[in-house]
Amino acid sequence: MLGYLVHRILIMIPTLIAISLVIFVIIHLPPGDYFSTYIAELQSQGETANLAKIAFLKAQYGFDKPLWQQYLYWAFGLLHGDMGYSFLYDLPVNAVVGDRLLLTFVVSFTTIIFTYIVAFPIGVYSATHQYSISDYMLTFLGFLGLATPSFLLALVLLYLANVYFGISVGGLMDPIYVDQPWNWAKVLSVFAHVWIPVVVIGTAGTAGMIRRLRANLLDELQKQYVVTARAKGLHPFKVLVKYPLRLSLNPFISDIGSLLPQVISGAAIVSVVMSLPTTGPMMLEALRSQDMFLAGSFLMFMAFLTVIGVFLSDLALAALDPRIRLQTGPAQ
Amino acid sequence: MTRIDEADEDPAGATRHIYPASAMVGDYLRAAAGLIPTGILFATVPLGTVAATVLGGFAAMFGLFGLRTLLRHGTRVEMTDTELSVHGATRRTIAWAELDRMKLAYYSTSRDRRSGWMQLELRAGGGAGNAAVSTKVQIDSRIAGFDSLVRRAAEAAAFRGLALSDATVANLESLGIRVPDHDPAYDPPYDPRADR
Repeated sequence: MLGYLVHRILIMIPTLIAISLVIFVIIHLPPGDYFSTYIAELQSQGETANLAKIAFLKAQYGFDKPLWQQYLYWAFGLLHGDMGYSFLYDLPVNAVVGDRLLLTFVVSFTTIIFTYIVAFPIGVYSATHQYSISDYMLTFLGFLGLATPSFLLALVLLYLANVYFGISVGGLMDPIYVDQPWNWAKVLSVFAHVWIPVVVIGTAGTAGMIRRLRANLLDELQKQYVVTARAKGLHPFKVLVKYPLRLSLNPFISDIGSLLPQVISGAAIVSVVMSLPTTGPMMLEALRSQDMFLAGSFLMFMAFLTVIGVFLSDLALAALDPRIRLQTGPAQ
Repeated sequence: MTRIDEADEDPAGATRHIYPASAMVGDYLRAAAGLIPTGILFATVPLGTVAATVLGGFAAMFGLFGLRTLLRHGTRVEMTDTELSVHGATRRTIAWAELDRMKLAYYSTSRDRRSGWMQLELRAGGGAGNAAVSTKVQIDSRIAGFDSLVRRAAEAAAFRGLALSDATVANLESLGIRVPDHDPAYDPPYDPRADR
């Protein structure tokens, strides 16, 4: 496994470097930069910008240097924990981002756990009770979950909670904890609030996962070795757990890689609707205003999570099923 | 996948296997490709705590990998009809008659799962529930004559009636080694009374 780990990490590092290059180039593609947009905005309002301060910031953050030097400045800054300066908020990015990265991670991680905990038993039940009334009901719910946009579900929940229970379910903690330092009461408040965004963000992923697990398990259950095992009198639970379930888990595990970025990007709109203090709304604003360091840091964080997700799912697959596949076509 | 020209056979039927230098070059380069950039970064850039921890972990792992490659390069495997012995930093011997576990894994980092490598893991001497005192041997497919080592291990496993995982069976079959009577429904041997 050490050899596999080294091979995978050696692929992961250039991948992250390539992604950082792409992010940097894309952020710089629109004409101008944050400062030119800022000066134009002030001029349109009949105000004058503090040109001396802007020139100072441009020189300090290397905006007067060639692009490749700006890239190196940004990339090496990330390495020693300096994510740069947010011109939009007039603060270092580290200070602006604050707890948002942590809360985004908490929401995303909890959503993935929720997805797996809900999808696994339902998928197995649905496959082992194919074409039963409960299977049809679960299938219907699955399609409903797939077809419902997360932000719409968020709006419906907000409305129902407000009208029928008289409570506001927005935010990730009680308002009194928003600007307080972390303590046990704040952590408990986050846990009390996190389930609603988790259900909202995780519903579509859960429905998709149920469909995939059901399909994979049905494929396995119809194979001859399962029929043989049943014919020999093996207990149905043992038949299910010993091979078909284990084999049908491979795509389930390989989904970890794609689930992380899906959850984070899907959460952006939901975060706006539900006023969640996560990275989504701030990233949208940073991209809109070309706040290069802030947008770049968020995008790198997402890319890092994606690469880590794929890395973890590859490791889990290598540990669970280290077999050669001789057939042509995409490997699962 | 394997080179057999560097596996020697002596008149008594024993074969000796080494890792050819050409097969180890890639691993030396990988260890260097991981260690050199992390070393340069440590030396030249003032790193934050998180970055230093991550890069330090990488450096330790690549260092360990380089050391393992070096040790593996100096390892010699000898196989006879009765045992397999590994001569390297330590000497380990597995008698075929005491083989308790055989696992053949395949690893690949490419999406189409080609251009990968295999790893043979053998364990003996400790019994089923006594892994602490058992002898464990891991052999990489880049060793000269890997196929013959696997074939002999598979024969010993079949003779001992060892249960092989589905992945091991598939990997053996990809090397053209048929596992007699392997059927998932038979593995482990089924006793209906055990399910009551």
